[in-house]
Amino acid sequence: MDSVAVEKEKGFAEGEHVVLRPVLEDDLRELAQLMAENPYEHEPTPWTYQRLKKKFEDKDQPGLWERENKVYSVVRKSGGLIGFLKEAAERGDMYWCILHLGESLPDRDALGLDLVATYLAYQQRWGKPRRISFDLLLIEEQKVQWLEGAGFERELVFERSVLYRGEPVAVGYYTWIADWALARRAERVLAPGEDRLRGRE
Amino acid sequence: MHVVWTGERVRLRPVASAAEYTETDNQLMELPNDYWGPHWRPLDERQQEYEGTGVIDPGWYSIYAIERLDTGELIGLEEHGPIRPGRLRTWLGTHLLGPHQRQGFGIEAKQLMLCALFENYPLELVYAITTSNHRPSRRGLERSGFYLEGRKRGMWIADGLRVDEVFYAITREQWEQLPIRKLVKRGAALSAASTGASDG
Repeated sequence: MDSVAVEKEKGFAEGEHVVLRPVLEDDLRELAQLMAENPYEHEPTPWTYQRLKKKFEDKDQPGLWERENKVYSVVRKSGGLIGFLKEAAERGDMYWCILHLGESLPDRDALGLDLVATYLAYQQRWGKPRRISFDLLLIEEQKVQWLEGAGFERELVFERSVLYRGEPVAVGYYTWIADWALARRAERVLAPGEDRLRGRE
Repeated sequence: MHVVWTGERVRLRPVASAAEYTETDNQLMELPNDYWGPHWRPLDERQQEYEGTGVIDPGWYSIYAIERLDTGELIGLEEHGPIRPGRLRTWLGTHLLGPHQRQGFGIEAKQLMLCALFENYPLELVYAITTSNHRPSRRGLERSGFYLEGRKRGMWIADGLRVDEVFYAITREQWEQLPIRKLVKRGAALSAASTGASDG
């Protein structure tokens, strides 16, 4: 390979191995496959290129980049789409996400750890996130490790929630909550005389 | 599948008209809820919703009228979330008008909805969400057979306070043990003329 010709990917967030950036039209075919491959999606699956392209070309909110729902392409720094991260924002400081990296990637663990850490750092650098939560199937052990490695904790589990390879499996919610938000929650709920709902708990 | 489910005190049935839907919904949304806060949706949006599906749309969400058996009054709305291929769970929610709250009507409405869901769809689990400080709702869910599944910390702001969202769930096996299964009547009662019964 001609090293001079390799153009590094640029994006909103750069980690050690990966870059997160908005979806480009050229990503769509591979992205549809990656989305269909992901065992847990919020929307009906499988995704098809045609359905995704139609969404990408939406007149009001094109580019899979809506006001509250955004899709990031995950690419290697050296180039090449390897996954995606979907983010649904709520009230400007809470984010509901799913993520996926190609199952056949030989260095998937290193990329996954880097992806989660990079996304968290990106959110903290440019905003003030209160909570970030990822949904996944508990059988996706690699993803669980990536999230736990970045400080996410298992918050909620729904057993027997999704059919996967013919078996009912559990969905887990892994969450990161900002220290300041946890501290404020304790203060606000427990401060004596502060709230008229106190005592109903 | 049936769309009318009758227990000992209430019946779930399809909402009869756009007017019935919007009027009931207006009454439910009129005052800010102490726990969930104010909620409003434009009238046009709700009318279109009714005209499109009769607000029974398993792929998106469905809403049934809750009717008292002793008075025949419509006392609230019972709803459930989407039923999707491969997804073995959905949610339900109960909205009762003020004068009919805390008398047990919501408990039976939930249990009738569970019958409709578990008898007709390949679900393994039904869940419901409330706020951690909403004791009447939590008590109602527990008396309906739900157990506390977990919570999302600091998820909701209620009256200036950040409170947890709590998740309650019931599995198919747990629902199978509920007494409502022996009491529930499925389908609408037909009129005397329809059944060929004579008046005299």
